[in-house]
Amino acid sequence: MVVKHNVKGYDEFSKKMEELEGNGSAQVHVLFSGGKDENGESWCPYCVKAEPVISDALKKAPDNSHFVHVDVGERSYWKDLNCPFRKDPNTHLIFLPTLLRWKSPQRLDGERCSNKDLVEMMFEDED
Amino acid sequence: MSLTLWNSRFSITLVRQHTTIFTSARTALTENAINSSHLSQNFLQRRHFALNLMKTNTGGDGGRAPSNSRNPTNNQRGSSQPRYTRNASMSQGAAGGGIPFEHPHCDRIAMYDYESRRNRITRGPYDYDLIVIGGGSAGLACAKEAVACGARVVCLDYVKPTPLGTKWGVGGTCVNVGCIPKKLMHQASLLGEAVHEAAAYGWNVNEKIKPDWNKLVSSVQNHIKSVNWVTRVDLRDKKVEYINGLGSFLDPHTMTIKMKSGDRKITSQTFVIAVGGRPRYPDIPGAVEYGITSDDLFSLNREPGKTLVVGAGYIGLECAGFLKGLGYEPTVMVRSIVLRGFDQQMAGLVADSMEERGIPFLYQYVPLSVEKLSSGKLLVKYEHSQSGEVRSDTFDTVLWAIGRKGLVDDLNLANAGVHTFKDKIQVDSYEATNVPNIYAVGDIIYGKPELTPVAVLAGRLLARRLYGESTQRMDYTDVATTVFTPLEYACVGLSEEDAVKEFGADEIEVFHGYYKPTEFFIPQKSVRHCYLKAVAERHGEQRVYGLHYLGPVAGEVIQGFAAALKSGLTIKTLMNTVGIHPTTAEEFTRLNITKRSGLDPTPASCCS
Repeated sequence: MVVKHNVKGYDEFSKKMEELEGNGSAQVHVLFSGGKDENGESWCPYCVKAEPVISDALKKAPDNSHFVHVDVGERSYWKDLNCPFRKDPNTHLIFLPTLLRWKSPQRLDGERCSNKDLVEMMFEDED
Repeated sequence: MSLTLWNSRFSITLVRQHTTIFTSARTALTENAINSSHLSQNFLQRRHFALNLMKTNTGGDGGRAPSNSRNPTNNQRGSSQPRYTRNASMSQGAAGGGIPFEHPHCDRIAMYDYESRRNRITRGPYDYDLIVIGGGSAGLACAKEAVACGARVVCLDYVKPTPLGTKWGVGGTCVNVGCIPKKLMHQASLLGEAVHEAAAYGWNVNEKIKPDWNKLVSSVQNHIKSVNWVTRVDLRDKKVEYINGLGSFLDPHTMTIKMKSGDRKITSQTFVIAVGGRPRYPDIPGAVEYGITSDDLFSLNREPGKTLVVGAGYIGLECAGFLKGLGYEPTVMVRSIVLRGFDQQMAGLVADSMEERGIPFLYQYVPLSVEKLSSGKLLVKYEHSQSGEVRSDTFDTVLWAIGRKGLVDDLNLANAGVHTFKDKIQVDSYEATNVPNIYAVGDIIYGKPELTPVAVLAGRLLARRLYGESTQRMDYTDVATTVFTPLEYACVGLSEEDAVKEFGADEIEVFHGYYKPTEFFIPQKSVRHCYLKAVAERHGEQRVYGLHYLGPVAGEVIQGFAAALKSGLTIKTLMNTVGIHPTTAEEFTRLNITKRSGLDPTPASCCS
């Protein structure tokens, strides 16, 4: 079973990644998406579209791999070009949503995160 | 990364737009020709000529004669085809229908005026319409375009590990072991040079800088892996079926594929062979055991150290160049000449500029053997090819850069009846082999420039002719290229010796000059080899046949001039072009000394 984690904001995210890296070499996939308001709705329409596709495709990910869903925060926070998610050399985010394999070349962003074929490929890719 | 994804999507849109432009231009031209009787006469003549040429090339309609001499002569320089003598009548018609204008050495007919065979998508008895063998620049471009045109396509890709065990992902030579890692390492080397120059410009560069080979290799490899991933995503996104397997022919329509999961047999109406090439090893003791090639260098897990680079083609020179820039000690061993196929005056200057930077050249030597010493060093014995004198020296690395071999061996081409020629495949101007349903593009074809953009365009055009509405063929002439040596060399069009061979020494004029890049003065960099020349027609319009430039950012300088040359550039136009000051590219607009005049081509000052 894939182990799922939900974190909110940059600090929680960094702490979680440190913790997972300390755990060994299991694959970690990370999804960054826009924050949700009190009604559970995200300001980022592509994130909304991607979420069900990704959670469905997650069954293709290797057993014992980890999946971290990161709530990046409010729109204004994300739109700031100095937002730490954009500056971190390991994330270097430009688009939301972004789905990536931690410290690996595999990365999908924007509309491609809601393409079932591509998302499944991301979870299955062995190279 | 994300930017790359976005870019690739963007470029596809551009490509589609271009298709439209070409199609509509063609329609417009045809209408034009019909409307004007005078011009249509001209047009028809040309058409007739074109069709005759085509017959000459292909040996008639159905009979695509399987001989080695079947190459499209109108595409080749030094041929006896009358394409250089048609100027007078052709240029008149240029304003009207048909070919927009005539250029003495552009194959305009290839681009505008041919009928071509087209494969209808059959949905016939085969598993696929098209099997593309090879997932490099040519194969991927061809496969993607064919899918976009509605064909059922599978693309095969397989990389045999090197003797050292290096292997890589999808994308072919350019991405994995060619242009991309080469350019990145060249850049690393230029940056080191720039840091040294920075001190003269007032930067406090106190610490002695030194390169970290492993860091460089891992940065380069990470970039390559990202590109591999983007390629896989692109293939999946465009619904191109991709098989990681080694294909070989059973008959002209059947192929067996060796995969990790076992063998599989598939059939196809059409095949495109785009398997490319790999570096050669010399047939001497120790070559394979102890030597490496460009396939290994960009992922080498140790510092190269003192390196013997055997071969002075562009690959050898580029590797030696960046190794020197990174602080290692390369030596170049030259069997006969430097940069074969390039303008030899420029080649000599490139070699001189490298020697000036402290890279020794061993001229007229060939390697005899490589032995590993107990110290781990490699002892290389080598012989002077004239005197027979034998010498030896020890190195940390021996890099073979003696040429590349077409990967025809695993294809079992005999089963399909495809002829090979010097481990390459000869094709006609439609990229067709001697077997009607089998084509070849990219580095595997004989006698054409081995360059990624050539392969990409040829592959794409082939797919459009096979499955789209296009009739456009690849024009292999006047392709610009750059050698990324420390001082870069770029050129487009004919070399001086080829121009002399083709038109005679009395009919060409060479404009040349040395120049001093402004930014070289402060750090007192050597300007001794900053040189450029234009090879042109001596009389009449003074068409430019070739442009050659040795200096900084050569590729960036020559690309735009390549478009100008393709558009029929003359010396007069060049002289009437106002330069951008201060740049090095502007030197092309300042050329006014001919070799024939015997005047001194060195500049007096910068702004006169």
